[in-house]
Amino acid sequence: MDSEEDVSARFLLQNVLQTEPPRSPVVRSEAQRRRQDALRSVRRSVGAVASPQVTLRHKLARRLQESVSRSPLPAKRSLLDRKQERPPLMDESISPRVLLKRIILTEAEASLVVTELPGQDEEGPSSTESSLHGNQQSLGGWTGLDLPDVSAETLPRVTRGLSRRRVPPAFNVTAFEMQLDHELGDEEEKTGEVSRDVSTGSGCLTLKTPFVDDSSERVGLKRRAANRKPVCVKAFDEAVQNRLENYESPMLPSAHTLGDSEWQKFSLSVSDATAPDITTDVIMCNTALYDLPVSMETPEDQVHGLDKKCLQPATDEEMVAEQEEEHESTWVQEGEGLKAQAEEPDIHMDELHVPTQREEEHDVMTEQEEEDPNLQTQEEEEETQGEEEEPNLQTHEEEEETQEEEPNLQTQDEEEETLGDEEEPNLQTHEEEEETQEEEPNLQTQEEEEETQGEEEEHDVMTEQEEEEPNLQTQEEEEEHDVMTEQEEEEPNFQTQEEEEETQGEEEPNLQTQEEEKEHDVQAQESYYHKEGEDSLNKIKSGETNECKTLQHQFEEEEPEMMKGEEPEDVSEEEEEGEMEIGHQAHLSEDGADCGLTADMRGYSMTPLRNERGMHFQRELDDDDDDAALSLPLRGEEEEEDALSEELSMKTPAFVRQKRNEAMATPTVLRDVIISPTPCVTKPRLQRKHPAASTRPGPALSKGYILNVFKHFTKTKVSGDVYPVVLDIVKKYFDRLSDDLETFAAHAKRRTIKREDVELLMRRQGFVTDSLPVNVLIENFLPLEYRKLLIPVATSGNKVVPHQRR
Amino acid sequence: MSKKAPRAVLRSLMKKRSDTRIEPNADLMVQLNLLLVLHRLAEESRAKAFEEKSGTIRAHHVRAVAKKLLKSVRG
Repeated sequence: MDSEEDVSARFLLQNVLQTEPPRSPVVRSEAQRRRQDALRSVRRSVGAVASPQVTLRHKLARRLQESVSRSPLPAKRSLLDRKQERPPLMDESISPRVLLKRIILTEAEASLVVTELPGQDEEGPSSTESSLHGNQQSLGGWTGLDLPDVSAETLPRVTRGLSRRRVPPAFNVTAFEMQLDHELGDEEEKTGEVSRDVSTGSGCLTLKTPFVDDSSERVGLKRRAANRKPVCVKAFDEAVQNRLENYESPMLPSAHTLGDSEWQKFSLSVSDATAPDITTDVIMCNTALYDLPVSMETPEDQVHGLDKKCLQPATDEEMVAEQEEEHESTWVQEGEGLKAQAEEPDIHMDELHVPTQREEEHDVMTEQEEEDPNLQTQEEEEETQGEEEEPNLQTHEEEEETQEEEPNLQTQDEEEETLGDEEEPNLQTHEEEEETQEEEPNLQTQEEEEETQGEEEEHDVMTEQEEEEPNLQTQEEEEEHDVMTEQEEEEPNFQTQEEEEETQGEEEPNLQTQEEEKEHDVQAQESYYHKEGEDSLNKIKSGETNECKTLQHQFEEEEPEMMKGEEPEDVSEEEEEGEMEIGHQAHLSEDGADCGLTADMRGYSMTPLRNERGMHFQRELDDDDDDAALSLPLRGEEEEEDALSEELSMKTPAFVRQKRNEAMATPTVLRDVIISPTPCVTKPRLQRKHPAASTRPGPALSKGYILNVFKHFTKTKVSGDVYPVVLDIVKKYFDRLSDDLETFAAHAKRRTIKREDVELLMRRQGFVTDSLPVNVLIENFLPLEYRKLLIPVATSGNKVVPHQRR
Repeated sequence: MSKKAPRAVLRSLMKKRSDTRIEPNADLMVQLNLLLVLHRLAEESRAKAFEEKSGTIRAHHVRAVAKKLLKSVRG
């Protein structure tokens, strides 16, 4: 009864109301009940005829038949006529349920209009519409008939039906009429049947038909509801208890998704206690890296900057021109103050020297700080500090370069020439660092000399240097001696060197602490000396030994950092360019901005040396333009020193190089690390990550997806390294799966894999059993959208979603 | 945490022998299947991890379970 389907209970009831004469709702009273009982009894007692109830029932039955047989319209009209003045019952606002109830109540009392029975044979209204009308009429006409007839039996059903608020589709009148025809003989039966029919099958009697339908429907609904709720609840409870018992992890809201809620059986909350992220680890590591360069920067940068700048003008320029400039500026400023420190830390030895050196360094620092950030100032400082810086420079150089013996020597020579032996050794140290750490015995000797000289002059410095010396001596005994001799000659330089050394001492501890004490101890000293030497040489040129020293320190400081941040090329470059030192110094004099970081470093390292020398510095200045050229002459001058520095650099640079390498290893790309450590840290990480991600071959399920699912399923923490394994497993599984599916499809002589193939597979796998139908699994696991696609859902209008192709 | 199932990837993985077609909803079923498998894998791994008194599931747990699991889901 399609058309009837559209007819809602409300509509029917309204019709009923319209047709029915207004009645006052009768409250169920005992009288009524009695009446109903009587009716029931009458109804059941087929034989009883005489009772008024029986007659009434007959009337009702006839009425039914009439309404059925007769054309609905006239009856309707008659009813309508009667119904015109409908009391507020007509209110449409009243719900059908209420209406029905009222009807039931009222009908009991209604004096049924007994119409002619014979019209019953008219089974005219066979059309749906007529049947509809008939239904309506039946509603109106039969309500009285039916209700009393049905009272006993149907009423409860009616009430039930009412409770369900559902009016079943109108029954096909023809069938009903047929029945009526058959039962005309038996009024009672008819009535009963009518009532029954009405109650059961006749669509006309919406009141009755619902009973069965409702019950059936209700049962169906109940079934669903029953199935759903208990499962969910139980699952929920179980999950809750499980969680409470087993997992203390915070329960995430279960309503992550419908899918999740469906998965209550398995996990209520997504224990997203994610495995420690690599990123966090990275970050942690990064922070460590940050700290190092940051802390190291100032002293190291200064030293390194000095040294490197001095030592590696050309290469540095290329490499780190920009960086160096920045670094230099920063370093110079820092270096000036921190040169002493930078120098020291570079060498590591400074721990011992720290107290003493610091004192001096502070002085130096102040001096340096006050001075312009330019290398020149540093160079000046270096000049004042002289030899101290030289060793620093040397050390820087050592750190920076280990390959350049000559420059160190040259620087040393230069130093000697200009500033004296100390410078040379310093330069040498620098050069050694820059060139080859191995070839700086001179530097070492210089350092020793410096140390000795320092001791003589400034015990503090000496102590530092001495401390450095032992470290150096261990590596460069021979060299040191040579250096010593040379250094002795350069007392002024030595003093400066001492200062440098002091600063270096200070720096060294810093460096040590920051970098690596062990490695740097010897190397630092060496490099330090080298740097100092170089720086001194540089400073000689620049006339700013102090600066040089500071620069050297900076360089030294920077070197380790630079070494970290700089590519190994820089190191080699630095080493190779002892000459560069000069240029670096020149750079230093020019604020070292010319070169990159390394260049600046070198420049700085150079300048201090030069400052001491004065001449050298100028040369360095000149060298700025021609780093190589300048460096060469300087080197020539500082050959002695260079040699010394080289010697020193022999040892320290290696050690420093280690630092450098370490520093450089991480962010090879980032010399800017010194300036901005953060990018250094991130870049290497990012770089590492990228290749990993890109290398994943072919179409692979996203790691994140698998990760997510797996974590959700496990409900416990999952370590990050699991996922490659899981991915691999899944891949293997997928291969097998696809093969199976293909086989199934082929077996069905199909070329497409259909859903049933997958279902069969799942059954074979044991996922789906008789007790665990597929749809249940679907509901459990799949998110809502997918569920809708897979499970046909009946929607209103007799539509099934998704569309079932039948 | 309902994620969009990566259907495209699923299809590409399923279609190793290229000529075969896949019904639209079939890959959803495959998705379901995969979820089930992952679930089972997760359960087993978790059990194994608990065996080792480890609150966190580590790779070796998973690997140990994998072979047995793959065998069980043969079809």
